[in-house]
Amino acid sequence: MSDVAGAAMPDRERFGGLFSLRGLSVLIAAAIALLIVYPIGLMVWAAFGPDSAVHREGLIEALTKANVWMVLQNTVIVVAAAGALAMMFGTLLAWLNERTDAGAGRMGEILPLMPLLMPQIAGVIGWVMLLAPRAGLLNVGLRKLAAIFGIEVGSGPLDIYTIYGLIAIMALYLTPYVYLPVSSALKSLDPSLEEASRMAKANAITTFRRITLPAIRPALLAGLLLVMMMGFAIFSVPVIIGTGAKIEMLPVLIYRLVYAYPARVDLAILLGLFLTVLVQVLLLLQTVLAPASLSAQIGGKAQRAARVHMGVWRWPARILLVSFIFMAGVLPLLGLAFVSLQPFWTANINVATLGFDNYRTIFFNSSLAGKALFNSVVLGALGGTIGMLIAALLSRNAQASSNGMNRVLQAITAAPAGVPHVVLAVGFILSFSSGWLNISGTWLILLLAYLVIFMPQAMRSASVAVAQVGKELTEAAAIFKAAPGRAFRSVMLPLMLPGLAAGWVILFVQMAGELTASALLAKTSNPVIGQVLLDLWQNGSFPEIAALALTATIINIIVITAVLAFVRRKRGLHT
Amino acid sequence: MRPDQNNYMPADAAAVGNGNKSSHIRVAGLTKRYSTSRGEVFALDDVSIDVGAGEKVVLLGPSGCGKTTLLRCIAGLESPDAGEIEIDGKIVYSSSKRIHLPPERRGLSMVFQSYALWPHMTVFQNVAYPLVNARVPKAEIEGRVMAALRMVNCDVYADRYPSQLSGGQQQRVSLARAIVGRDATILFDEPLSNVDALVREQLRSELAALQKKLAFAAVFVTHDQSEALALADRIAVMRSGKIAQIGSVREIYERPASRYVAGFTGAANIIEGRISRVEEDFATVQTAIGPLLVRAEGLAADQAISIVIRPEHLQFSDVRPSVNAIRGRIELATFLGVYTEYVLSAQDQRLVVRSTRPDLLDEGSEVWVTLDAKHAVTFAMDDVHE
Repeated sequence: MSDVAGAAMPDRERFGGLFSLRGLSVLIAAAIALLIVYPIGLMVWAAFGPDSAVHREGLIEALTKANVWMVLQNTVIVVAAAGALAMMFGTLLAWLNERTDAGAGRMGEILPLMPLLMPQIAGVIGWVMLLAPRAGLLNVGLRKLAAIFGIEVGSGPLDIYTIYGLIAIMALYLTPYVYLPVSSALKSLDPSLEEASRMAKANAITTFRRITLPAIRPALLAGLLLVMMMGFAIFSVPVIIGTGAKIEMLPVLIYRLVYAYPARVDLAILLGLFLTVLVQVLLLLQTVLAPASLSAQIGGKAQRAARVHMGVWRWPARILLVSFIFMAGVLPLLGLAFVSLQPFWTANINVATLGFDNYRTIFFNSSLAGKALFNSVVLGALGGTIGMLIAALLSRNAQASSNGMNRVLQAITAAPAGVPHVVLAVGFILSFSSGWLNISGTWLILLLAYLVIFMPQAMRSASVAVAQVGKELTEAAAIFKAAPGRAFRSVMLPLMLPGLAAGWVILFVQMAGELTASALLAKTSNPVIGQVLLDLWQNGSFPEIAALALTATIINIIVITAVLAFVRRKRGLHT
Repeated sequence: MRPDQNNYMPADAAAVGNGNKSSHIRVAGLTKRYSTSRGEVFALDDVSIDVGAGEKVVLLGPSGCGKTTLLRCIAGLESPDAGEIEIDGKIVYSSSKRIHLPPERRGLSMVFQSYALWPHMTVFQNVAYPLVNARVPKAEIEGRVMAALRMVNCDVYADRYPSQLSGGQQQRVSLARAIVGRDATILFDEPLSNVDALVREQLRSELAALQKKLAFAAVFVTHDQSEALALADRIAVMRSGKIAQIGSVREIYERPASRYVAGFTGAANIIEGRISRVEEDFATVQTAIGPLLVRAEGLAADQAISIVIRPEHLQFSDVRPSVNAIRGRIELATFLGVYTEYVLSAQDQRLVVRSTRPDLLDEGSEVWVTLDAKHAVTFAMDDVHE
């Protein structure tokens, strides 16, 4: 844009407001770019440079030694199966909730939020505590039930440590990635399209098949690609359940190559780059195949769709919706709660021995757990705030003008989405562990990693928040004599606040519960919840894990509830 | 800020009005291009227009004609590719001098199509915003805001939020916000298109009264010809990025320069024919529905022309008229309150007639219709395909 002011203006006045805003965003984008490009560049150098072990040993030899082919096969099978399940359930749940009378009240809002309630690794551990073959509480319950009918078994009947368990829990955590785009596409899809189909004598199922599904195809595609991307990158489920089931997957292998003795960082890097390329290809496919047409479907005002009457299927459908909410949040939480009250994890629950000793231990006796809680909450709050402010500024500029520079900014901030966390962490270790850049073992390396990792998420929330503020509202601020900086502060920021707050919550819970990068970057000097949970798990102190996980979950719930209440109050006031 | 700030004016107008300071918008050679997949498109193609102080100019045209782009270029919300814009003696945009002032430095106000009231501010805060930005002393702000709100009858809503007001009230508040800063220029982007018909009529007359009282220069954008006729001193009819015709309301209505302009300022009947004879004042045109007498001005014998007649200028006659007699059959009669609209077929020609005569003519009946030669506007045939 040629925002060149009159020649007679003094320079300061000419550039004043604009310069600060725009200059700041360029600076930020450059920093983010550096934080991605530098580690990855170092990784490429380390992997293929003349000094790399892979170089000496030969690529195939190295890969074969690390059992890579088996791991790849496992990864593909699990992601494909879990992804297919997630697609099915995500779409079904979205449709049930948005378009049928089975959906009710706030259920649709709560459903995708459920997995956010607790750190993902806490949820996965919760499921293990329910479904472990011997001591799993659900198994205990089922065995007691069976005993009534005279069937006595020592373990089972369900076993989470199998490929089926792995796939099921993966699918559970992948489902929201389908549910979200599909339900928002359904929300914005003009219901009169479907009503017209009903008027044209098509029944509900034909309408769903012939009208609804084709209309939301871009959202389905977006969901599919998202599920594959997350599926390849997800760490918590494979590291807990996959390890127990002796099914190794790619992100876990990378983690072990760094941590095992002797460490094979070079191989980890190589596999990390491979994983990155894989996810980048999927990301590229997403931008090519599912472009902005998603938002182009939004038609006018929010209309209430005429809901499909499910008849006798209404209650089964509703039970399905509710049971997803239970499975994604309530059940693992119950598992954690039970184990956290026991002195040790056992199938035989003795009410007399239940108590809060484990909580006392983590708060007062184990300085690591207490420190981890504190660090994670502070990092989540700080990272969330910085991340949302940066994202708000960048999205605002992107909306104001879509020139070349802003497009570059967009691309840079979206890039981390295509770099799996475990890879980025390896890159950070490589880049920031020696010389004058050595910040390893500090909270700063975690903060920087979190900011880079979650910048795409922050940008998504912020651009939604920006888009919710009508363009004319900001134009009016300029017309009524507000300089850009003041217009941003007095009009944009307050109007974006609800959207930004919602984005902040997502950043907070994800940063506070981050596991994948933390597992490699956090040490005893800078412990965080995710990493401490993983360490405790590997040491087998289950009741303490449960207590810590439950505490983290409660903090999440308090923060989410408080911020959402704030958002609702703000929105209610102005609309 | 303004030298005449202390001019005496009665009551509220003194608190809000901008006196008689001369405002002048001069747009010269303004050009704006968009590049599309099919090559370059001119949103504005060398547009020049002047708006006098206190004058009301309406930019009229269909969507995509460039009227909104022109308004937004004047406002500073869009940057043109070439040309010059001067407001109140100050050059705010000039491609040759590399000047482009941002909106906040152009000294104008605007009323937006969507009202654009900030939902997180009260009505009072909304209206006070331009004053705060212009660093008006705090003591003065309250008085001026309330005076502006009183002028649009919204002072009782000062503490409400915009979402608690009706569409019409919101538009009034947005009007108050535009006048409170005493800018000599106010731009209106389809100001009445979002309110319902009844409120629209009332707001339109209030707007006109307000403009008369405060004497700001006003540039309106609209696609509604009746709105344009009611609001304007002058109308600029735009087409494909150019001004097709600019002139007083009467000129545009009675002397449209092209069939396009005629069509856009009122549904028109078009009859094609060839001139057979030119006498002193009148020319005879041979048409498919018989010979018609029109004004001879600028016409030559044997010329192929099209005659444009407005529906209200065709009149029913109980007997065969002596001149310009057209025989037709009523195909459709639609009672529209003030008038009845008839669709007639005469030979193969379709004619629309608006009549205020009280009795309803039956569909299917044969009738005589005539037209006054002085109301028929003629265009040479080469203009037809415009």
